[in-house]
Amino acid sequence: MDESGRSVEELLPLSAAVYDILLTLAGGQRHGYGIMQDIAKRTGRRPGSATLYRTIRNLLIAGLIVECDVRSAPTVDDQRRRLYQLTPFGRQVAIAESRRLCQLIEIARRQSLLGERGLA
Amino acid sequence: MAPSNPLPPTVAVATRLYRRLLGAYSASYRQIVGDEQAQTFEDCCLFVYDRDGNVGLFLLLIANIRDLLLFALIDRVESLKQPVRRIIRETAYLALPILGIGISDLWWHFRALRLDFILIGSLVYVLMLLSVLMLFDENHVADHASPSPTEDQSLRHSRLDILHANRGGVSVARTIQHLMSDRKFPFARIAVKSHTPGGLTDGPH
Repeated sequence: MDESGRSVEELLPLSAAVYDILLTLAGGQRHGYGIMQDIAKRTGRRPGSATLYRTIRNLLIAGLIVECDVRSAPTVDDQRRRLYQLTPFGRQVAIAESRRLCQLIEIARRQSLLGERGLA
Repeated sequence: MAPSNPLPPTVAVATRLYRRLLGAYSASYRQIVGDEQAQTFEDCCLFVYDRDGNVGLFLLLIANIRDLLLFALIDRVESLKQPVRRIIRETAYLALPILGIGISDLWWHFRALRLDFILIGSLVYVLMLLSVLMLFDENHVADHASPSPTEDQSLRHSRLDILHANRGGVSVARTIQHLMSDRKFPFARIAVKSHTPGGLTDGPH
């Protein structure tokens, strides 16, 4: 539960775009283009900048992510960009969504939709 | 900060067009992520231009403009919800004096001019004045109650405190303070100075 009394469960399930961003930021601070590159590398699909920033704006307002005041590894290229990171509440939400997805995977496995090493 | 290498002309044109189209979003959206979104689009353009040339850049531009216009439309519709809520709230504030005027009019039609009519009429106008003051204060707070995420957390908390304080019933006092501090109504400054010694802080001199 966060400062304003919202529970994690209220926000679940997350949309794919939101979960992708939280998953990326779980690895540390990133700027918008970095998030985009990370998602493209992981999913093979590059989100549009309008889609990405609409989601980022909503996450900022919801308090799941925040702009970084301190940059962990500043470079010249990063100086003109804003870096984002997960808030503690955002991390809780990401963990809860990951657990929910794990439960779904477990159910899929029991229904013989998945083999030991992936798709049956 | 200006990039060290000049952009290829087609990338520069695409970026300029994209920045121009960002104006389709609401001001609050542009304030939060507008510059960053344009910067990221420029980075994408450079990446695609290096890989696929002008054809790739053109396809990227088409896809992004479609997304941008779609989400700008959604953003505009969402931002319309706020004024609708405000109109409902303001109507509720104004409903009280309007109701009072209606009752007074009925009283006027059915009774002769009497002391009770004068008292009710006076009460109605006091209520009307208070409603207008509360309305003014709500608008003032609403204009300033949407901090950007770049603002300091303490400032954000203090703004939330202001919002809560208004709901706590000190709205009129804060409005009078605001009128004095902004020098919008000199008469308010004089009136409050003469009637509430030490009750409210004075505005800037």
